Amino acid sequence: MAFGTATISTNSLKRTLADRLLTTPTRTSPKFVAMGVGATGAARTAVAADTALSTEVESRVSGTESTVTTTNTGDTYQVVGTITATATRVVDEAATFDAASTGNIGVSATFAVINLASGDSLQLTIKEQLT
Amino acid sequence: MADADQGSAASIDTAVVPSRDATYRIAVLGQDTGVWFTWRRVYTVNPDFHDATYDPYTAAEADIKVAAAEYPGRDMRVEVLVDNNDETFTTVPNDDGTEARASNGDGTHSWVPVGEEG
Repeated sequence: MAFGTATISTNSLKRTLADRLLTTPTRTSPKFVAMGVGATGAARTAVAADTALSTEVESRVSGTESTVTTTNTGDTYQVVGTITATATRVVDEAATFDAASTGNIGVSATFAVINLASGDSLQLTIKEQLT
Repeated sequence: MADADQGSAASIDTAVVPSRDATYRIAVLGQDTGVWFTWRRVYTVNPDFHDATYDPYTAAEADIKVAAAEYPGRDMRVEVLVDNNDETFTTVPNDDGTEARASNGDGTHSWVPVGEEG
């Protein structure tokens, strides 16, 4: 598949959403934000079956969670994270996970290249609306 | 029965926060150029005002350093004390990130950043 722009609720995220309705959920919140640089090179477009980024860079950050309103009151889970580049980065993918490393993916996204200089930061606001 | 209208929708927004601080060299132009004035403060429009780090200045131009995180969108205002009258000038950012000339309401003073150092 060629590279393309997409933001996807992965199958893993849907499992997480169902799990977290349990009285005692087994999965944790997908609040860790990650970015990567490999989607274009891998000719990858985000899809529901994604489990990881192509080439993840920098450490994941624990984002700031909230529920916001898109259509109905509080119908959207939002997480905001800011990642600082420690080197020049050509960012073209991002995702949320439920752990600081490895873990289960939540939202997966591939997008047009964002060029970061070393020291620049990228603020990512990721939303999951239940419709 | 499953409801075909039910589902989920994901979205992502990104914003780059540049790391590089900038120095704006700002000159006062207009009919009163050269009169005594003092650079008072410079602040960003969004999100919060910021008292710049500089000393009172009485020359025709001044270097004003603004931390990168404090000029999102490079949209700034500068407040200058001219002839003991408070004057507030607002920049008009250009698409290329430079700052266009700004002036006060009656046009008696204006200022223009004449350089930016990364």
